[in-house]
Amino acid sequence: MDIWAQIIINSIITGAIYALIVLGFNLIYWVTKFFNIAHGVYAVVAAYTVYFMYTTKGSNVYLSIIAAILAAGLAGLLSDRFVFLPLRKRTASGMTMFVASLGIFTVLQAVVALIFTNQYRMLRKTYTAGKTFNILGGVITETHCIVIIVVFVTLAVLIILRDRTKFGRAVKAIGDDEEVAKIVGINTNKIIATVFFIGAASTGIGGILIGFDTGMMPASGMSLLLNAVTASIIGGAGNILGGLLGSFMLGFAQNASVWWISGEWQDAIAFVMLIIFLLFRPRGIFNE
Amino acid sequence: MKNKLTVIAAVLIVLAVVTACPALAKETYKIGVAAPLTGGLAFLGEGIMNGIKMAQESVGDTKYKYEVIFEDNQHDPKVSVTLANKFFDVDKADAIITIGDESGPVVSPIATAKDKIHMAIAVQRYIAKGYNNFMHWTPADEQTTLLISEMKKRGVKKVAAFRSRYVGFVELFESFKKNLKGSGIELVSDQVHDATAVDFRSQIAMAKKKNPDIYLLLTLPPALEIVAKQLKEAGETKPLTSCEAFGISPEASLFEGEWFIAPAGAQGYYRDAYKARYGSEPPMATGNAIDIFELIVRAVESTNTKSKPSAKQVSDELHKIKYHHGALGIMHIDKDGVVVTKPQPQLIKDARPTPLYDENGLMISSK
Repeated sequence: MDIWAQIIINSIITGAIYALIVLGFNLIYWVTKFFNIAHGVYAVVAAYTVYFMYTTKGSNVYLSIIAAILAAGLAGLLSDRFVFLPLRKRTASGMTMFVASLGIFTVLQAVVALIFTNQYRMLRKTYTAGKTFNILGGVITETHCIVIIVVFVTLAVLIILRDRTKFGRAVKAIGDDEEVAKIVGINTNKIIATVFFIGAASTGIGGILIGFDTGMMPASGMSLLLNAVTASIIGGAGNILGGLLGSFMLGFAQNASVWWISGEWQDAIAFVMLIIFLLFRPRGIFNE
Repeated sequence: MKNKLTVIAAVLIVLAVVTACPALAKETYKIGVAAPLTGGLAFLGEGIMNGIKMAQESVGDTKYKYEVIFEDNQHDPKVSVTLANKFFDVDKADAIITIGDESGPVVSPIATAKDKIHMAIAVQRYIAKGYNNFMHWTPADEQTTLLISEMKKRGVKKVAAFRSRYVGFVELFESFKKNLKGSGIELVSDQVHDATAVDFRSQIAMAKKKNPDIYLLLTLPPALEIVAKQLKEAGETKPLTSCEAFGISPEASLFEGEWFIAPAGAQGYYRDAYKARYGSEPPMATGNAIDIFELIVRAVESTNTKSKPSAKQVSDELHKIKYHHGALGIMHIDKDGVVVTKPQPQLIKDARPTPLYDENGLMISSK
C-alpha cells in the first residue's frame, strides 16, 4: 500500500467531515457576523436523535435521519428565535452574541448528557467494519464515500441557494449590510431564522455521518466546533468555498503530520495553523 | 404487677450493662468505598459492591463488626477527594477503598494525613507509597513478562503499539519496553493518541507500513473499539492483543478469537459463588475488592488490642501477610504495600473473556 495515497485519502475524509460542520457555520457567520459556538451542539442533537430513533427504538434509518436533520435545524431556529433575535433587537454586541451562543451550547449539551448520559455512542447497531474500496493502494470505506458525496451535494445546494434564488440574494444583502437590507424591504429576521435552520440542519448531516463513522458523545460538539472554527478562519470566515478549502487544508495538515510527529499532536497542529493564519492572514485565504 | 416491674427492671439493667460494656458490644470497623456506580464504568462499581457484600456476609464470627459505605465517585478523582474527606470526617471511617489510577494517587495523601488505611485497586506502584497505603492489582511487570512470553510462543518478531497516555497504560507500556530487551521482539511502531481521538486512519497506515506480526492495543474504550474497527477497515488481518483492555470493552465481540493478558481475576469458589448469586461473571476488579475486604478483616482481627486498632496496627498486620489465598488466587503483600498476584492469559470467546488455557494447560484456539 502506498502510504501517501492512504494519507491523502484520509486527509480528504477528515477535510470532508470538517467541511460538513464548516459549511453551516460559515453560512450563519455570513449573515450574523459572530462566531456561533452553539453550532457544534447542533451536530450532537442530530446524532443523538438518530441514536434514539434508529439505534435504540429501531425506527427506519432514513426516517430517523430526516427527523434528525429537522431536529438540528429546529435547534438552530429556536436558538435564533429565543436568544439571538431578542439580542439583535437590543443591538447586542458580537461579544454578547458569542457568550449567549456559549450558553446555548452548554445547555443543549447538558440536556443531551442528562437524557443519554455522557457515554460514547455509535449510531451503527454493531461495531463491525464497513464495506471498503481500494483507490490507488489506499482504502476508503462506504461511509467515507457517502461523507464526501454529501459534502459536495451540500456545497452545491448552498451555492445554488446563494446564487440562483431570491432567498440567496436576500442572504447576500444581509451579509453585506443588514440595515440597508431592511431599508430595501427584506424581512431580515425571517431570512436570518431560515439561515439558522439551514446552517444547523447541514451541520446535523455532519453529526449523523460522524456518528455512523466513529461515534459521538455529548462533549464531541466542542472538538468539532474548534476544528470548524479553525478551518473557517483558514479559508475565510463566512465564505462557503473558503470553508471547504480550509477544511481540506486542515485535514491534510493533521493527517500528514503523523508522518513526522506523534498522532497525539493532531489537535495542536490545528491550533498552530490557527495562530499562523490569525497572525499573517487573519481574513483567511478567500477573504480580501 | 410487682413481678412485671421486676422483669422490666431486670431487662433495663441488662441493656444498660450491655451498652456500657465494650467487651460485650462489638465495635464497628468502617470501610468507605469510592467506586463508579454511574456512567460508563458503573459495571465495575456494581461488581465491587456485589463482591464486597458477598465477602461481608461470609465473614463469620469476628471481634469487630464491619460496616461498608458505598459512594459513587463517577470515576472522577475530584469526587474521590470529596468522598475521602466525607468518609473520614463525617462517617468516621477507618479505611477507604478506591478504584482506578486517577483516584488512588489523590486519596493516598489524604489517608496518610488522616492516618487511615487506604487500599487502591490500581496499577501504579507509587499509589502504595506511605505505610498506610496499599495497592491491589497485578503489577505491570508481571503482566508484560507474560505478554512477551505468549508472543514468543507464537513466533512474534515485530509489534506495533497503539496507546493512549492513560496512566495505567503508560506504566504497562514502559514495563513492556523494558522487558522487550533481549527478547528478540522489536517494537516497530509506537502510535500514541489523544484520549479523545477518534480518527486513527493515518496512524494505522504508518503502523501497517512496518508490517508488524501483531498489534498491541493499550487504550480504553471507545478508542479501543474504534482502532480495532479502523484496522479492519484498512484491510489489516494481523492479530490484536492487549494487557487488560479487551476485558473491559463493552464491544468485546470485536476481539473475538484474540488473546490478551488479563490481570488476576476472581477464580474458583469466589467466581462460582458470584455467578450463582448474580447470574453473571464477576466483572474486572470484583475479585480485588473481595480480597481487599478479606485482607482488611484478617489484619484487623489479627491485632491484639482491647479497643479498635489504629491504622498503624492494621498496617503492621497487613505488611506481615506473606500468604493469602483469596478471590484472585495465591497472593502476598510485598515490602512496598503491593498485593502481588499472577496475571492470566485470556481469550475473547463468544464475546467474553475466558481463560486461554484449559484445566490441562492446553491452549484453546486463538488467532
